[in-house]
Amino acid sequence: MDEQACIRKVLSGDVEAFRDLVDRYQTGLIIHCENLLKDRQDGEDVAQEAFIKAYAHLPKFSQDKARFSTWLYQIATNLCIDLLRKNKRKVHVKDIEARLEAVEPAHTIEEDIERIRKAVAELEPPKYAAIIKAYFWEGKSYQDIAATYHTSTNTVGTWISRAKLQLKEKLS
Amino acid sequence: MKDLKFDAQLIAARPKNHKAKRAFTDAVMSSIKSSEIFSSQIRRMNVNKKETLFMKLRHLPKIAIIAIAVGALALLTGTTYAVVKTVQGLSNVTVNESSTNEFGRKQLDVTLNGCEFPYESGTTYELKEGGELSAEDGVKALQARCDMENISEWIQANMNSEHAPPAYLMDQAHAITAITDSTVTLQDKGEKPLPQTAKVIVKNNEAGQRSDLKVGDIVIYYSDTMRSPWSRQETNGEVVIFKASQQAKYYTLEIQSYVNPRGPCMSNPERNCLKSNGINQTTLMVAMGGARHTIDESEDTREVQGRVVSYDAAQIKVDVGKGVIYTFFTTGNIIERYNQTTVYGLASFDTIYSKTDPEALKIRIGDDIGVGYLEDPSSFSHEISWNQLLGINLMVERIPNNLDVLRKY
Repeated sequence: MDEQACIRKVLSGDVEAFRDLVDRYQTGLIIHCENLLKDRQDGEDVAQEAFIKAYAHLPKFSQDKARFSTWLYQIATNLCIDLLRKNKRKVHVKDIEARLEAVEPAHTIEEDIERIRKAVAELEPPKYAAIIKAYFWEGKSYQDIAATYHTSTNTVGTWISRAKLQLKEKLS
Repeated sequence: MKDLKFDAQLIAARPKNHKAKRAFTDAVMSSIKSSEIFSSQIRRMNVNKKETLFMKLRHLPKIAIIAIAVGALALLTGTTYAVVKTVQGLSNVTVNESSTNEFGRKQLDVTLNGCEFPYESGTTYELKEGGELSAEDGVKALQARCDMENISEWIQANMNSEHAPPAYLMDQAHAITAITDSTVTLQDKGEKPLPQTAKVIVKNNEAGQRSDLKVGDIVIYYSDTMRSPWSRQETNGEVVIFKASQQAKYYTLEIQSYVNPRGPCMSNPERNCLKSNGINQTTLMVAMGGARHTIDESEDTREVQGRVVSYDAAQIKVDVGKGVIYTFFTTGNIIERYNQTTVYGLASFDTIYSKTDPEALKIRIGDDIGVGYLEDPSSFSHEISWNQLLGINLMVERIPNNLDVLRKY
């Protein structure tokens, strides 16, 4: 179901249709919030709150003015800023806005998508492919991945960085 | 920043067979459906204090939202023609057994012929205390509910309105007190247009006559010439008058709210859970458990409901019926913490709580709670550890004649 149809269904009272939107955007949104808050659990909590808020305010959302994902990410970003301020952490709103622009779900053409998938599948060692898939496609946290591989989250971070370097080389 | 764009591209390349985290989606959907907008642990932000109509209604299930929306909409004039439809005979409720359930409430095991209730098989209907409904009343209320189901189906199938999904028309059944050539007067509602083109349709097919309407009939008058609560746009359309099969009182929010479905709990078929009546029930999250940090998707997400037997700093015991006691191990006295602190902060988190006295929402021994937890699919233990515990909810409902105020179920 396309996004607009999904939103129409939700607005006409089919709450369950919202599940598609949550499935579609949760991984990216959690990672976005995690990056802003520097905490995975906070990131998941805020992402959840953002979805609930988006649902509650969906009647006010205008598809003419913005994509749903843009609107959703903006809600989440505002919640992150609120939380950072509440926790008396420094908030550089401009940096956050720039970050928001960068992370907004990409409109990637099908050909590029296939190239990325192929490059991921060819990562060496194969563990890197599994980790990239777990983090970016399955929404697993560093902690989840670390537990799976019986290692530390720092090591997972290193593996992901190395895997991304390989990917960039393959895709450049 | 460039790296973030790359991350976004990676995320966008997710193949369809890589599913998102089900537990996360379930948690969001559960929050939306059960309206638990509060949790002392995870809701650190204040939500929009100014409550819009939709925000107020979003705490209710779809059926009730629609019912209230329809009730709140002003019917406009300028109708083109009218159809009279009777729902009598479209459905038939028969009672298989009337008994008392494990929680001491009257319970009806019924067969709903020709009724599209979305409830799974094995559902029984509990007549909640306070409504003083007899088993006969319960059956009539269910028959009225089936009528509204059929009306809803018909409207959705036949009315030309994208933004008017009137699934249920509670509080909209009224007796006809007068009829003229062009108007019908409804008790408590006043005069409505009734064009000469009125028809009667029985069982969706059989054409009838406008003259089938008579004083004393209970009818539901519906027009899709109204303002959508979502789009705020007015739509032009037709008027439909549905002849009801029961007395008007059985179509009311008040009566319907006392007839509540029960069925197997989620992933826990041996246990019996209250299902949403689609009218005024909701839940209030008391506390999150420890499972959110260790969600393993190979485990089943289960629920159980029952009455609090005891609680202390180490555990909560819940009577789930039939003499079965569940023990939920905790890392502190979470019910006491809720009673002493959390309940007083509810209003600041969401306006749904602002008109309810916190004392009325404190958990006492004997109160109905629902508990979500994770468990190995092959295990059905009655002792649940803190790390398995997803969350504890207090079963609450909006008071039918004052939906702004909550009370314990």
